[in-house]
Amino acid sequence: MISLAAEATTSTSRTLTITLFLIFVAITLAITIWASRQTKTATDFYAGGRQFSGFQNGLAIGGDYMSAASFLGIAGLIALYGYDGFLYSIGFLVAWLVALLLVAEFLRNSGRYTMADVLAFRMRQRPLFVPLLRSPRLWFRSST
Amino acid sequence: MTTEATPSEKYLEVQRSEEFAGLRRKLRNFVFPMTVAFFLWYALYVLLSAYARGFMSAKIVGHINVALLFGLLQFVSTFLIAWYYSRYAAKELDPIADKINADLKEPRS
Repeated sequence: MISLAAEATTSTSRTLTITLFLIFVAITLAITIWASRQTKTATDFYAGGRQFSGFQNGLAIGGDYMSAASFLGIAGLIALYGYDGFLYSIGFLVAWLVALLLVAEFLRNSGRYTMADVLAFRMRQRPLFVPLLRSPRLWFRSST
Repeated sequence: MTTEATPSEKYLEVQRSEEFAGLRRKLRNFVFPMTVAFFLWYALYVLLSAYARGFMSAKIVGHINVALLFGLLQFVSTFLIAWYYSRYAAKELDPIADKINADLKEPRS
């Protein structure tokens, strides 16, 4: 495995990799700048002004999930460990249902954008503040 | 205008109402059993993979064995649950929620 990896990084393939990477970053920045001209409120920033249909939102979340973790990580796990890697990826899938049924529905109409906001909204703020600061996981978007 | 309840009182009133309690009950009666069900289904898959290797490695068609099929079934069941939930929410939950929302907004407009 290690020798295979060493062969892959010749200088031409590295140039190609870096070029593709820079093009990708440039396109992403261009889209971000274009979108930022139309972003005025917090709702626009966090929730797209609530103008996305459910299907479009689903596509965006799908894009989130099919990230490097899936294409690189799962592919690598299955290549290295076979069935165990496959089993591991099923865990991601079923965990999404937990987010759907147990988290998203209960947060949906609170009008808040992040988990931290929702907790602050529902509970007394002071006692929450310290543990929240220590827990980066609670800052993930309530993507609803 | 002066006899109108403050917003927080209105929300408390809604929370105490029968309609809202019904909405919550409907949601929970769907979500909690479904959660237990899919969790048990997934746990079955993982436990069989760990402890019933003979059964899981039985080949069905060519190189495809029970374990791979079982994993794909997890995909199918996840999609089915998501689809069924969206139907259930549109049919049962959204009408009640919209009605409560409309009632709340009425006196202000």
